[in-house]
Amino acid sequence: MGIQKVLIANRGEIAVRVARTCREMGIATVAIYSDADRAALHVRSCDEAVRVGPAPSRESYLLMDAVLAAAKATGADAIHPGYGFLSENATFARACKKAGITFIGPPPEAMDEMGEKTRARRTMIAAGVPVVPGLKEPIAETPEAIAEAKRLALGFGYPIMLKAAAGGGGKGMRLVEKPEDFDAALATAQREALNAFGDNRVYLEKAVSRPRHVEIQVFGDTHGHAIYLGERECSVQRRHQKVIEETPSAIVDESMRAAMGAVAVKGALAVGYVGAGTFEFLVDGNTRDFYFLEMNTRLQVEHPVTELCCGVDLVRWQIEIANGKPLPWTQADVLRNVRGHAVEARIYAENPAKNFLPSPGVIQELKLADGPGVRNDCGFTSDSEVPRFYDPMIAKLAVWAETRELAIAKLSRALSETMVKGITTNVSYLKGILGLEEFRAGDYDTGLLSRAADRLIPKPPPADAALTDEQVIALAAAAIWQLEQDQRAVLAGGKSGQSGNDAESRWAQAARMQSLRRMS
Amino acid sequence: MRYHAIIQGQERLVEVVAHGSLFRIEIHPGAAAVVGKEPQRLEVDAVHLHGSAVSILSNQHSYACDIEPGLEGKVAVLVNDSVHELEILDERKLRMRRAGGKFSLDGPQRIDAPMPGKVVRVMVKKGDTVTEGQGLVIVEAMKMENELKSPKAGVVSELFAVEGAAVENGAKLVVIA
Repeated sequence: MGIQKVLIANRGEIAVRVARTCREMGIATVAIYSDADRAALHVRSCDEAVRVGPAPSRESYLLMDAVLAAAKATGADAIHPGYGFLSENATFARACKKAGITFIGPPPEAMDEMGEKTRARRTMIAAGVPVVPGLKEPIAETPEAIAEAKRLALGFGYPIMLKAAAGGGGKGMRLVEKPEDFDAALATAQREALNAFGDNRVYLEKAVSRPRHVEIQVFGDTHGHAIYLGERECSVQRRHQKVIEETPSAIVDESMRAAMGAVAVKGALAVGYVGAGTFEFLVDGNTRDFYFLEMNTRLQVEHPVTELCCGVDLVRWQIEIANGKPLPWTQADVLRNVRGHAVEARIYAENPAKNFLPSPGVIQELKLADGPGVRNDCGFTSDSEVPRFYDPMIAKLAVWAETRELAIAKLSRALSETMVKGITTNVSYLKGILGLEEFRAGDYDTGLLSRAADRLIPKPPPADAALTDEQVIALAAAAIWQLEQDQRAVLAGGKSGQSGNDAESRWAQAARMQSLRRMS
Repeated sequence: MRYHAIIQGQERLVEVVAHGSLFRIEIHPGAAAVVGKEPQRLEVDAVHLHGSAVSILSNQHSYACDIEPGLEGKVAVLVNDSVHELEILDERKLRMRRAGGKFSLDGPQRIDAPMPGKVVRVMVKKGDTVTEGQGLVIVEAMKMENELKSPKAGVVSELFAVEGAAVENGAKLVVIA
């Protein structure tokens, strides 16, 4: 008998996405939630739900004891960790095992080996895989260790990169351009790492110029097999946070894919890897040499693009492999079945016009894109709140089409249909990226968004410029809307006359009148 | 009805008359109707859908619009897939807005929380002398830290920010005099 009930130790879109597959498989689901998420969509998407603590994630979603207690209380026999939070925490995986609960992910030993970046580097160096030069140990918090790190950094040559040892996803990561910025960057990286992962250790490596970020999806089973499911190009990044991902990558051809895939599979087998994992590589945009960066021992945010091109459900694979089943596909099956092109855009609650300031708040209305080849992974609905405590990503919009060009056109169309009212999002910024010449040509690296920043944040036209057709319609729509507000206010019983169109006070009046009527 | 719209930093007089679902709209080039300067005239068919969505047909062109009202006459209008920020004011609101004047960097500057979040660091004390661009407070929201910098050289005359405290959007943090 396999897994009967899964506790989903996550929130937002990924919790909803995992719950969907569980339902399709006839597996019962348990949500966990913090005080900020009682009304969240993931709670409604599951059969049962358990509160795990107050809003801050360190007091709720990251509390291992509370999560395990929730699993025991509901009789869940497995935990799906999603991504982030406890997903790459070997201590948690061990605690699950000890409690007799299946952790849907790799064995803790493989997480130890690959999850911690500095150790993973050593493992891969031993396996003969090229890596970017760097300090292999986290920087200890002693003045001597920091001085030594600075000395090494000078040796590698600036710019250097500081990275959270426990992390991923761009949190706790800082590019340091000059030696004099080292101390401040280290402090910030450590603080962000502590907040995001509960672990403030940071290591350093040389930053590669004009690099592309290409990753290989691997899958292993408990029968000693591992395969790769192609690559994902993730070079469209802002402050090391992925924004748009696609597969296949424009820089990867068949032989390069086979070479990267072989390295990834070898690495996975070397550590007895089981389940979904991702090998991240830094690719030199000119020479196409690739360096192992790190392995993410979990399902990735951007897994939908792989699913779209392979035509599989990776969460279903994760669950079946956790049940001890063999991989459903051989490597040859993958090569036979992969087709077309998929692109994903991450919709963030942030304001590109105000230096990407986070924009939490209530989504008054949400309209998601639709139509052939469009997939939404969204953790929110109209009238739901995006809390300030968690990641600003609110949804992923992914599309599939026969070719890269068609897929980009489809994603652009789908973004045009997407409407998020009440909070500010990056939707039009995303559309701008799709329109960039470098992106369209597939000729870009991780510096694309900073180089294109001026083109992506449109400057306001001069004040004396003629109104565009759309601006004229916007004015007309606003005037019509205001007129109707004012007329309704008059109908609701306000006095007409001097201040005849103060919509706000008339609305208040109307509300008062209504409540009076109800009372009488 | 006459409204004063501010779009692209320019004030324009807008007149709108309704005939059922048909609206006749005149957009004047300036803040007032001037003889010899013809307004742009259009006749549109507008239908209210759910919520604040409006379908507008103008010259056979179909525009899917949506209105998101803000504070003090500010309105964000979605036209197809682009958002246009403008203000639509009646006479009274226009007078209030004109009285508001413009901000300048002379005099004390108040630094407010730009979003709801948590104060993770306060880097100055009351009475400190600061330079322009010096970091004052770090506010964290959605796992990202945002450093708020001093808009000018001066002295920290008031300090409201407390490390560890949750703050709402617009909360007073520091005053630099």
